[in-house]
Amino acid sequence: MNGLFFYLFGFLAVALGLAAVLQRNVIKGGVALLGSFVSLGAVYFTSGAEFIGIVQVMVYGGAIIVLYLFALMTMDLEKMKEEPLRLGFVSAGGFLAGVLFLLIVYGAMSLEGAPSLTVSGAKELASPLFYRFLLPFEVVSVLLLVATIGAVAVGRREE
Amino acid sequence: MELNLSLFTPELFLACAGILLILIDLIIPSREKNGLFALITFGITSVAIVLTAVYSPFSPQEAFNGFIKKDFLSGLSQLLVLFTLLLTVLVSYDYLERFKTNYVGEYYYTLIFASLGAMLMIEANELATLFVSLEVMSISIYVLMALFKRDYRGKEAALKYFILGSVGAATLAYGFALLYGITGSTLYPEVAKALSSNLSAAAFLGIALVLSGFLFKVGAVPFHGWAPDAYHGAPTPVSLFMGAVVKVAAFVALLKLFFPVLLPFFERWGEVALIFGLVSALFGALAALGQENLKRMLAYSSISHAGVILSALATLPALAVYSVFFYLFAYTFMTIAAFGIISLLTVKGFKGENLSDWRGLYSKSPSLALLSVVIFMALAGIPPLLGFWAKFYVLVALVKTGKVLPALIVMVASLISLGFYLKPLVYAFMKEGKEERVIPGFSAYAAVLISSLVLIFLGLFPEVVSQASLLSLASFLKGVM
Repeated sequence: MNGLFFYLFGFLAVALGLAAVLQRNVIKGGVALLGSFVSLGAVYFTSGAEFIGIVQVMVYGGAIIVLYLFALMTMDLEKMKEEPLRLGFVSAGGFLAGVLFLLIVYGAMSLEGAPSLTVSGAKELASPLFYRFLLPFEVVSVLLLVATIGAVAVGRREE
Repeated sequence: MELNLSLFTPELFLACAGILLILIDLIIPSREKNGLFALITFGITSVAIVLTAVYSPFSPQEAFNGFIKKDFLSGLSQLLVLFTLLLTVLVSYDYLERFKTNYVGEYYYTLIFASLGAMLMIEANELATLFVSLEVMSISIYVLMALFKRDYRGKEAALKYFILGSVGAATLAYGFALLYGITGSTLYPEVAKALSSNLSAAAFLGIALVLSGFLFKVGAVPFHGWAPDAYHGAPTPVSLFMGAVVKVAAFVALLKLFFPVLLPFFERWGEVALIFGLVSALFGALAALGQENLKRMLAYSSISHAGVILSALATLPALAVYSVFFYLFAYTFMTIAAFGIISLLTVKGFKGENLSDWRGLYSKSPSLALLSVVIFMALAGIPPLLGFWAKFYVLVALVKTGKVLPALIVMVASLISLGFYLKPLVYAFMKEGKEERVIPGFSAYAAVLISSLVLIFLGLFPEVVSQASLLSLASFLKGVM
């Protein structure tokens, strides 16, 4: 059963990833990318790494996609549609993707046996974060508070 | 899990007070904000000073699983930070009366958070804590620089400092990451233990990156580029605050980090610090000679002072802690007084910051002119003021460890610095100026007066500071050995 879902979501992730690249409408592409990220999160779930799965959905599916869509909506999409594909960009992107693909294949080949999944749980992360590293964790919250106040105060328009 | 929260009381108090001030900010009408906030912040700081004095043990104690370690050195340095905050509030009240900002509340509680960051940085005993507390301090200071209305110079300075400061912080983070990767721990004692058995090229790279990050924070050559613009552009009370607090926090953190971690390799590291220090001391003094703006001149002079402290760091362990703390103590009060008096004399359109604005100061306000003599002569290191003793002990430490040539270079640098410290006095006493009344604000005047009196009295009785430095040295070594 787990194996079935693993392959199903794996296929979905690849297919939606392809759709994200091939789609001419950028917003639709962004939504396809969101689906790809969520499917990837499901893949993590099916292989037993629940925590990474949750983080994948929250960070990529939640924050990063929203950021992408916001950035896309500030641009003039009509103008982008008319622009022809440039051979230089496409070949550079293809080259990078090829290198990345080869790296992943090489990594998968050199992997011996099933990787242990003991560090993927939430507990292993939470315990150092909230016990051992409690002080820096709390100081980070002060830092975020100061940074937020500062951003609002500095960024607001002067009347 | 050993929290030992009671040791952390002063910092907790300061953090809670800062957060409460954010809420209070919402209900106070903006008309009375400046006075009320200055008063509240003054009160909070006074309480924090008492708490810090109570909770700084002589024999070192750890809290938060050893993430912070308090001893007499950190306690005294924290008191220096808080005292700077106290006098900054006095100077700021006066400054905010003359230069308007929509963010009075933000200004005061960001000052508190910046001091909290500096306090945490001083007592940090772990790399992650050190990094985040450094960022709390730095980001608060970037914000403080940009808060004033129509002060585009301040905003420009804040942006410059922010961008360069981020690069400096990144350097530091890379260094910490390398050290963590090599040693498998972020606690100082464990890092030290792992490094003492195996010092690889990667470890050297990590240490070099960390050292560069610190050199950036204290503004030593070759990472000094931000200092003149930041000090010049920032509102004067903020220049005062960062001039004193950042130096104290960075140097004490450097001592606490590098002593346990690098004691076995002290020889090699000591020489590097010495070279950087001497170059900074000479460069700062030479570059300050041609400055027309007093804040810019003080920025270059702070580079020179940082260089002197760095070369003091290079002396043997015991002497280094002693002379560095003594120098930091003196430097804090000199910085408060010098920027304080500039802030006092600054009126609309930043008039009063330039040398030419000091013409005929003596005829306008004899008391201010006499105070400026005390301040600038202390900075130049003229006996019997406190600045002299600070330089004196650095020179003694250098000569005692057989570094006679570096001692001579430090002396040459301070002779050169006498040249530019005399300039404002020449303008104040010997040049005729227009007859304009100077009406100094009471609170800023009090701050300048207090710090000048400290410079005079502790200059007459340097044993007090000397004993304090000795005690902090003893307490610090007790924790390291």
